[in-house]
Amino acid sequence: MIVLEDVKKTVGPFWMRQSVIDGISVRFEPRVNYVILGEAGSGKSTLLALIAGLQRPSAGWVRRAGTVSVPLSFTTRLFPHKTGSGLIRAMSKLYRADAKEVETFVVSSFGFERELLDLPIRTLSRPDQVRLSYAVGYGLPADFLLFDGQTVVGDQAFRDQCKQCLADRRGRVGAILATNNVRLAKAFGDVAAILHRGKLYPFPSVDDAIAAFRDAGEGDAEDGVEVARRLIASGQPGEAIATLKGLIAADGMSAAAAEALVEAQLRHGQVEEAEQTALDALRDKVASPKLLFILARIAESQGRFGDAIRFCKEGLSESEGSREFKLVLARSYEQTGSHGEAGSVYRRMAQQEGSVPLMRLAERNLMKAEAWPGLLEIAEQELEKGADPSYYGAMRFRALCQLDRHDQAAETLRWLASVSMESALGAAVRQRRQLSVERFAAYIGGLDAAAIRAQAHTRSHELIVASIRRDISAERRAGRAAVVAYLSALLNQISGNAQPALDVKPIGED
Amino acid sequence: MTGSADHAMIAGRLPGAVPTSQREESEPPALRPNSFAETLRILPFLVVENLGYRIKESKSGVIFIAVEPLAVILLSVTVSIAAGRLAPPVGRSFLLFFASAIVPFYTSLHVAWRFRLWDTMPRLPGVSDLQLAASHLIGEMLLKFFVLFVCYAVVFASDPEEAIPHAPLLILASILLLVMFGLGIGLLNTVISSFIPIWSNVFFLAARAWLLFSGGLMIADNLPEDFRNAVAWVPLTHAIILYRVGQYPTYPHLILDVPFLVISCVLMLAVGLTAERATREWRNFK
Repeated sequence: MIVLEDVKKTVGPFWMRQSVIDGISVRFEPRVNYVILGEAGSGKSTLLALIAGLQRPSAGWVRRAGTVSVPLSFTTRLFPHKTGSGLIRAMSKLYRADAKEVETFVVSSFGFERELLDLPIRTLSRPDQVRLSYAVGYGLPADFLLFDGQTVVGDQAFRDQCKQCLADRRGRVGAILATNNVRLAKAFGDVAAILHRGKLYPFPSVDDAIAAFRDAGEGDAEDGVEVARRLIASGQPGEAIATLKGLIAADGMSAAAAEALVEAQLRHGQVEEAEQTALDALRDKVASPKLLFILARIAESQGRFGDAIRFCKEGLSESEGSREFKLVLARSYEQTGSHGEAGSVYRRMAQQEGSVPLMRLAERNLMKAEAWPGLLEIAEQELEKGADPSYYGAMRFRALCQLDRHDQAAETLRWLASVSMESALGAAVRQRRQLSVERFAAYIGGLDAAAIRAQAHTRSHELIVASIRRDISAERRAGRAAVVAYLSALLNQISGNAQPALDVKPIGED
Repeated sequence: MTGSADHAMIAGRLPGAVPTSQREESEPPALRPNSFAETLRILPFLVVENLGYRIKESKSGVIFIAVEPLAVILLSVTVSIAAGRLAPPVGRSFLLFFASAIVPFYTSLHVAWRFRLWDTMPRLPGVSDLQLAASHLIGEMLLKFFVLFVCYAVVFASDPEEAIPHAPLLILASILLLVMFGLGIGLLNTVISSFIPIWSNVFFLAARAWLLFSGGLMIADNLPEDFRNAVAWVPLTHAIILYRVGQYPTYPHLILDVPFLVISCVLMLAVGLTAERATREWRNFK
């Protein structure tokens, strides 16, 4: 028997106290299965910890006749520094049990690997910790079993053994299950109560409690998927996987269950299993955009860019506006060398979001793809919008050159020179690699010397010349020499050291 | 949820769940965890578990707890010898003279230091607060008995007659009273620390300095009158004198006031327990 007398539990520092349990008085009779229903954060775990004696009430008393288990998921947390065998010995001491018998039970009945018992609990994987926790919990004698959320965990064999243990003890021991899973509550409980805002409201039957719980809107979210999601959120993906697999086995694959299972498997490091689950959902035609996205991300991370593109296109057909799909798609295009497609995707995204970094990505990819019409279009649009004229002017010039629209290119270069001489020269020099020396020289020759002179006061022409000298291939040496000669003369003229070459002509004609 | 709450209110109470106001009508539950036999069974496990856990979590911490009193004793002995003193004020062993004050002092101090963590001490199923507290107290006392054992063993090896206490029960009574005093202080520390987090650090420094004012490094009766009258108000002084009276048959103990010592220790424990209980709703603990 467990009696709670006006039990209160408050948490938080004294200046911001919060009441978790607010004056609960109740008696739990032996050999009865109780269910405490409550939404997440309602204080179910705290109440169980108070009942088990793992926490002290802030006020009131908890009296226990007979032995009360700890919440079964909590067993390993009591002695995390011990090995599995050490845990069994310690718990056996506390519960007046024979440690050897408990260990035998854990190994033989639950199939827990004996060698794992010699390892410190901290070093076990989370699923193994949970399995050990439940196996030891079920192996210890107790007049009351406490369950926080789940009565069974692990793989199917382990779950079956948990169910068997529970069935064996039914009618001989009492149990308290705190959960928000109405399905589990219905299967488990003889009587039920709802924990809400720190108060416990008892009901005459489990069905009544469930009905009230659903009426209050809590039941909507109380299917297995939601329970699993909360398990994932609380860092128990292994338990969530087991729950969801059971759910899918019982009810078939649904998009929500598949999504949650994939998420749990990913959290648990089971990438291949997660991919298989998502593919199964795809095959069963229950795949959601989220699953497609996960498939695309997995494919991308594994270098299967073709698959990633396929999943992204499929996902985009279902959710057109999904930014994540577009990003993965564009990245995958880039990786496969389809820079034109990548640039187009980036460009659309940049235009939708007004994002400069995305526009830069688009331009870079279009450049690599030599998609000059697209680049010309971007440059003109951006110039219209008043974007950086030196950058987009140079881009326009280059695109026009590539499209063999030389007159417009020359006009652009002149305009660019009026805005920024460095940009104009830089654009012209870069472009020189693409064109014949004669044509390039003609463009340079077309620059307005007055504009250069005007810039001379504020710009470093030495730097300009240096930049022109730099990085010019041998086959263009003649053109470089022409440019250098022209600019040197110009500099001399500006600085008054020599007669100016004011009569600017295309260099190639010299 | 309001609807469900109303529903629940109307629906009545849990079958089998008798309102606690009617509890006296039925058989009160047996409180097995607090039974004496159960306590005797579980205490050794808890003591070993607590000490083992402390060693695993912080080896240096436990070593410090054991070594610090020894280090202070050795320092006091060294200073006395360096100062040219040929013999302690009472008895023949400097080591025993200082150990008889420093170990009791540290017993009280370390119990207080340990119980500042009362709120955060891990709870185990079926283990009552009393058993938990007892296990920690026994652990602390075992550590101090280890230090005493070392000191007595060294003295016994050179001068067996000096090492044998005159009245061992007085020594035990002194240590038990100091444990009680330390427990009260520790619980008070728990309360104060929960409202003033820096308090633990202040206590850590101030408590050690208190050794100088506890009258343990000299004979309290021989102190100047004003100073003697001041230290006479310190329960620790009386406890140390009681210890030494148990050790040395001729120890001067005119200022020893046993009723004052007992009342102080009981009162301090009562204040600690009351403060701990009274402030639970405002403290943040597990």
